[in-house]
Amino acid sequence: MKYVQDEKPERSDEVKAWLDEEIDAQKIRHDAIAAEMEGLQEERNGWIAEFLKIIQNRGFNVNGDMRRQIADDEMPERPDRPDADKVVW
Amino acid sequence: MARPHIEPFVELNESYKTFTLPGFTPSGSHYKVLSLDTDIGSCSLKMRFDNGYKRKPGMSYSDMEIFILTGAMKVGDQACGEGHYLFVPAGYALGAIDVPDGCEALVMYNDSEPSFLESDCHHPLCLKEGFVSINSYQDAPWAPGNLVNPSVAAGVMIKVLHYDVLTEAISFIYSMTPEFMQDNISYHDCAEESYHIWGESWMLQFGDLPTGGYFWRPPYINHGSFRSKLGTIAFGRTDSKLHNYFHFNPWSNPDENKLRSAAQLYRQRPALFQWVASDGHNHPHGPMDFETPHYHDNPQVKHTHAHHDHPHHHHHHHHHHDHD
Repeated sequence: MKYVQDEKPERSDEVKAWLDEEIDAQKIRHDAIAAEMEGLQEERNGWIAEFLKIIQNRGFNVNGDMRRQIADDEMPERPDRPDADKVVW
Repeated sequence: MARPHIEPFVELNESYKTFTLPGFTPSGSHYKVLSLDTDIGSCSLKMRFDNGYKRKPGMSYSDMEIFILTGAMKVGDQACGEGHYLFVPAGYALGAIDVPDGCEALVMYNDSEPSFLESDCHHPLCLKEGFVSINSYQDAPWAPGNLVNPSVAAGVMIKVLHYDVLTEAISFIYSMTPEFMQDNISYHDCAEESYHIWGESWMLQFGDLPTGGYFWRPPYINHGSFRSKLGTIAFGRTDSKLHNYFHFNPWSNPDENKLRSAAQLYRQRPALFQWVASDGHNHPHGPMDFETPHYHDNPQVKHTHAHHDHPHHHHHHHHHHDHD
């Protein structure tokens, strides 16, 4: 089956140049966001500690407002690997 | 690599650029790129149309979505004010645009880079019955956020504005009540996009997302737990079916999350999992569908199978069986 999208003309040099410029700008934006998020790690460690307390007390939202308290032996541990703290992929 | 993970991005801190692409002149329209697919050029833009902006009727070679944030525009005979949503199929000759007093909008090109061809009749291949025009604030009721199970916590409301029958991609607005909280970590099989029209929310990974905050999040990336102190209203989209995978491990990565999803498929749809996993059935272009035999050609289906959104770590498990 053919779609309108299949009939799109080849990209002109002007369109290619626009795309190249915006792709470069996006790469810079992405890298800046990733760096900013890495900078939050100390604060994030506090948020994670608070979250791990909450799921053992008030509980973890399983579905909607149904909560379940997480037992000690179910608690996750931070893995020892380079991407453990990565949040922007 | 498709669209990269852009989260969080507060566009209010950025300047507009003037649109100079062919078909978008004379000037009077300005844009900021929120996210851009580096392969096919599909993109989400925030656009500003100056007072007095006019454009003749015409079509794009891409499906388009428009959401009016501030101000108003006239599209043909239709007055489109704040909250107005348009889904414009590729090849659909959209009426003349007239913006007497300025306007800001989210403008999304789903299949390729922005394109415009002046025309007052639809392209012969246009799927024109897919056109949607609705004021999401005035003409659609709020529904509870539990249209997907497992569900978000009470306090999220949603209005679905567009639903793609082949991929179950949805476009919607949603709100969070003040003091909303949800104590779990979520990820999805689909990419997810959001723009905060007003308000703020908070996620464990990314901190605060204020008014003007945006994200494009590829599949299987952790987000949450969630808070909204003051409430928020936002526009959102997915590129395929939204399923909430909830868990409580802040350190799982996208590959582990994907394996967990596959494990759920193994448990919950065992016959389908077995069939797909068997030799010869896992065809790269998908299996036959007697009801929709040409679905492989559908642009939205193609996008979701064309590329991977984040680096993958391939785990090769070699099982050695010793036969004595």
